[in-house]
Amino acid sequence: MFERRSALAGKIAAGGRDGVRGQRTLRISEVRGWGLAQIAVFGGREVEFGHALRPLVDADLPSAVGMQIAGKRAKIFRTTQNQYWVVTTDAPLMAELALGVPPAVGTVTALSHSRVRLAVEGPAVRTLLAKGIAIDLHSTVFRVGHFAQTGLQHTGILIERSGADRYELFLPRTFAASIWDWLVDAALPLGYDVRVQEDHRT
Amino acid sequence: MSRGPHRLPRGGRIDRERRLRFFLDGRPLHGFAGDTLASALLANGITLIGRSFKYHRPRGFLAAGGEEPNGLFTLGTGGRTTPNVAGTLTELHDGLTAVRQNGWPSVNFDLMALTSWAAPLLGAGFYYKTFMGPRRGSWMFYEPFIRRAAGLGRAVHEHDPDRYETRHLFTDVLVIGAGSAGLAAARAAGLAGARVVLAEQDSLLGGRLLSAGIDGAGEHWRVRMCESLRRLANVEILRRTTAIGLYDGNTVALVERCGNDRLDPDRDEARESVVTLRARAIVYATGAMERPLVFNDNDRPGVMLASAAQSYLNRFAVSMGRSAVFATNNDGAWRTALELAASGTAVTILDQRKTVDGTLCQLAHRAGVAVQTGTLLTRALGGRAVEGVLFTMAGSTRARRLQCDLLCVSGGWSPTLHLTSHTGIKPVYMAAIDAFVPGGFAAGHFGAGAVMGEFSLVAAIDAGSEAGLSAARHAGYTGAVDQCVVAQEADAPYRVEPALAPAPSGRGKAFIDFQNDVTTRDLMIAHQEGFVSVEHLKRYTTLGMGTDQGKTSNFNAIRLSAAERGLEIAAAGTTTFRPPYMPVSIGALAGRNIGQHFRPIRRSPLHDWHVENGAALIEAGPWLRAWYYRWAGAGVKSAYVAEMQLVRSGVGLADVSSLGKIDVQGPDAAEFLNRLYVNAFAKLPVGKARYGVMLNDDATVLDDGTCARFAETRYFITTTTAQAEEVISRLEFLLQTAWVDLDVQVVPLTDEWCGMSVAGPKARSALGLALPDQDFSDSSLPHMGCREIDLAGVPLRILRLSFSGELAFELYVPADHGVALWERLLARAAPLGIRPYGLEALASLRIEKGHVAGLELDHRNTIDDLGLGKMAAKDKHFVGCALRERADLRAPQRWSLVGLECLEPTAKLRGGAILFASDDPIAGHGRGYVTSVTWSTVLAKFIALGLYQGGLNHEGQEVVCAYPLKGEQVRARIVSPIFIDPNAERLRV
Repeated sequence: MFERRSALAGKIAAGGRDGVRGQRTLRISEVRGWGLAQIAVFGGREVEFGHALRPLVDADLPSAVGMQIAGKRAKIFRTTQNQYWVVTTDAPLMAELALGVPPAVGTVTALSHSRVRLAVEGPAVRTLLAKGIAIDLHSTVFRVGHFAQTGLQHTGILIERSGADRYELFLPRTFAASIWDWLVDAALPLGYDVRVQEDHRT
Repeated sequence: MSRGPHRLPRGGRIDRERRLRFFLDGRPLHGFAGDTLASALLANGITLIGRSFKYHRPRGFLAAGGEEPNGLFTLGTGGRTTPNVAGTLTELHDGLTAVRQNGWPSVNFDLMALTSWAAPLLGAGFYYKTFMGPRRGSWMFYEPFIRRAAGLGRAVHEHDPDRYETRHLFTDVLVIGAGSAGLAAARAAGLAGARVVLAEQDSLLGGRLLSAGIDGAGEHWRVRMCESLRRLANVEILRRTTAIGLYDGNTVALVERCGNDRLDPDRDEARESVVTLRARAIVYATGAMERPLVFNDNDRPGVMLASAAQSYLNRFAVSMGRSAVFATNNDGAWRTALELAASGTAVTILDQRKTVDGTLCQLAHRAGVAVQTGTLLTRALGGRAVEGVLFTMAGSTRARRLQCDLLCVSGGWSPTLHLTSHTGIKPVYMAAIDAFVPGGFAAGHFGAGAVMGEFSLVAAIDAGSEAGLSAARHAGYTGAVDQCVVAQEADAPYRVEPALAPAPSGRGKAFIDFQNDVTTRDLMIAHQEGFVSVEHLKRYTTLGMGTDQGKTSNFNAIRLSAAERGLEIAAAGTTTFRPPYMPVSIGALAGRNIGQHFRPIRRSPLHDWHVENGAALIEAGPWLRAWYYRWAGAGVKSAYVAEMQLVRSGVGLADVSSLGKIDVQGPDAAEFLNRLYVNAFAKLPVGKARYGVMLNDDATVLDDGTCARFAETRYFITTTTAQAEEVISRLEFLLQTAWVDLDVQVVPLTDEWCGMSVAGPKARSALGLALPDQDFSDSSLPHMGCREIDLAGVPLRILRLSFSGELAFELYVPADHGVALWERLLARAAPLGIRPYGLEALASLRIEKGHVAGLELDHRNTIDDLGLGKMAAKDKHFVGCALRERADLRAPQRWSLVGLECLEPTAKLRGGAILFASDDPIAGHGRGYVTSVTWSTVLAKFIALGLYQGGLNHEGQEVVCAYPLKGEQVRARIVSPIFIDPNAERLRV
């Protein structure tokens, strides 16, 4: 009844383009079917926070900023000293989180609509991303499972390496169309396909 | 197949199977793949390649590399036109078009050469002296003429259709320069296990080795090294890539040029890229550049650096002349002289040194090369081409004459230390090589080869290996490295004496800086007039400026300046090298940050709907917002009025998604908000919202907005669109620094929630139709009430707020559901005549109501200035409360908020108009200004908000709204800023 409309609905339809030599070395996909919550803990309440969350996400929280863990129900990114992103395809988990974290211990804020999630993959993916992201994405440095909060086209994003030649970008929704335009333009010499993917893996 | 009249029948690194056609001044010529534009022109017998900057003297190529001061061309056509490109760095490609510069009507027949006759008037600083009078501002008259007469090539105004890129690159070790030292360094660092980037300006690797013969020990070593590097997967080689600047944090700017033969701009390939590279360690293997000698008429076409002659001969197989004179002060030029003699040219060496190494003399004798030592070259003879030289012997003033058609000069070698200087480390003088070398290195920086003054091939290779290994070790790699040696036969010693310059004479000009036409006479004038510091000398004479930045002139200038001052050269100082090392096209610097990619655009979740349904869009800060809708009119002037009338009489729907939205949670959230806002928030009940104002520390208004309490520990605050980012930053700052004791989390939600406003007398009815299960009665949801409901699994926040002054509700729904809710409202409330209204009407409605917004909240006004002082709580502290009491902020004559009614029925008010009392002279900054203007549909006249000295103390008085840009003066009356419904009855129904 209340259907969703992606920020990139009008962009995806334009499809892909061949590169300089007629090749398509990239696939740029919008990943749908997932949820995001930011959870945060108040100072001195970390133990209670961990106890509250462990049964919900079936995992211990990442121990340091910049680390992520993949639990059975969600991926958890530790984004700051006291904040985490919970990315999940398990819809009930979102509601359980809101109920499971006592207000005196921490907070839960739904952000599922605030980010557009892209998957960029292919042999030229690092060539593409190096045009806009000022972090070292070399395969021996930014390993599978690593993530970073960085900038792309003057906008704050989170990038995760989710496969050997696959990176996922979490973009602010209101900037997503603009960044999409930038990204596909950057991909023109390399050639790219466009897809919509449902998230089955988070 | 014609190879060009001056092309040798064999040899060189050119591909004779790939013949290329190119054009010079429209004339078709031919060259080969592997040629530069310079080598191809010389092979075609073209030695006059331009006119000089000031005197329009004929010029030829001096060099064969990036230091070339003379051979600048305008390349390309139409929007692809690029002026001032060195022909020595331009790879020849099929169809290349080049135009020689700075000659009128042509370089061959240049009437502007008459300027030379006025040379005595054009000395150093002539425009500072000559063109400053007779009256103030005269320079503005002369400037266009001077610019037309002098200068280099001209840029075009057409759009450049080519693509330029920027990219980031990271590495453990960056090696700059792929000569012998650079190759050895890259190999050593690579073998040690480090990630290596080897950046080379040339299209081939090898540096000076490329200018040697192709069958010597040096060449064999070069080939072996290239193969070795190719096998190292951790070594990335960037050819055609120039390091142009070194910055903090080991950040290096590189410019990559796409090989023109590979460039296909129509298929989106980048012509140039700027690479921002961050390295953990850097090896400078940037080599050295040969210096010319200073003597009279040393700029004649055919006067060339000895190293350049060697390059053209060996690398490009260009026949360099029938008879050549080599004038030198060092050993380096001798080998070139011998090679030239071997190619069939009659060669004479004039060495200023009285004694020269016996081995060299024997080699010269065997090669049939005539040698004169203890000589001083005084003048080149000829006009458009060199025809001979005059020189004297030591102890004699008698000029001797030699005929020649090529004059090779070598005044020694200067290490290419520009990049090392970018770190702020001054060069130091090394007497053994009569040159400056880097004065040191930062941690993790290393130098090797000629840049360190090591001109021996063996030494350069050893030093390169050691520097590469040290760099890898610095980056944390400990792998073993074997030696890479070159046969000793490839080595040659280097001895040099400081170059002599003849005393200035009345005949001819002795150029120090070729590109800027700076002569020894200019240097003397500068000294006579007190410009003795090298930095002053540079700016007064233009020495070392231009596209070559004095690469061939700086050392000679410093030497001559030192002599003039009676100083040793080491004490004379050096100028400061700054980025870029080589000219960079503006296109490369801009990259793809042009057009729609110049900056990102923020779009509402309803953006596509607006576009598909006839909205005109307008930029508002980073946002692209619906300005007005075509249903209301074809243009904004008619449309916004119709949209206002709709809201005042019926119901309208506006997209307010751009409002800043922030989630505030925590047990101390109420206390936090109570400290933040000027008014009380500690006791705001759940289910209620309140208008609030936040101040900066200095008591000026930061922002206003609403705050709704949805749960005991959860609030939802909105900010203005303009201040959204600043407010969230401010909140984070306060929580992380000032109020760390508060358990509060703030999360920006602007992207999460789509916002829309349903406004107008029929707003409640419209919501009743759209959401029939909900009770929107005044008792259930009173003014400033709020609630969150579940709409088929989707949360919907409803706040009864009004910006327009009418009965209104703000609805917030998760962004992806925004379109669905928007369309539902429009569809179900269609019987009530609901329509969308845009930003122009939104902003105009609030002016009628007297609500301040971004134009009034400019961080200069206090709450008292804006008429909001009564909101401030007296029984609590809040940010800005202390400084609010400053006398200046309480002064009765401060500019404060007023309403303005236009008194002239046919005139209109303008935002930004300056306000004057009716009897004031219309001059200066006036007593205030108009901030916001609209046509009032209720009052049927133009109204405005403004800031006026003394504010409403002047209510009822007439003022003049002056708009000097259009020469307008309109009468208006100061009134209350609340133009409609002062008792707020409309919004409480």
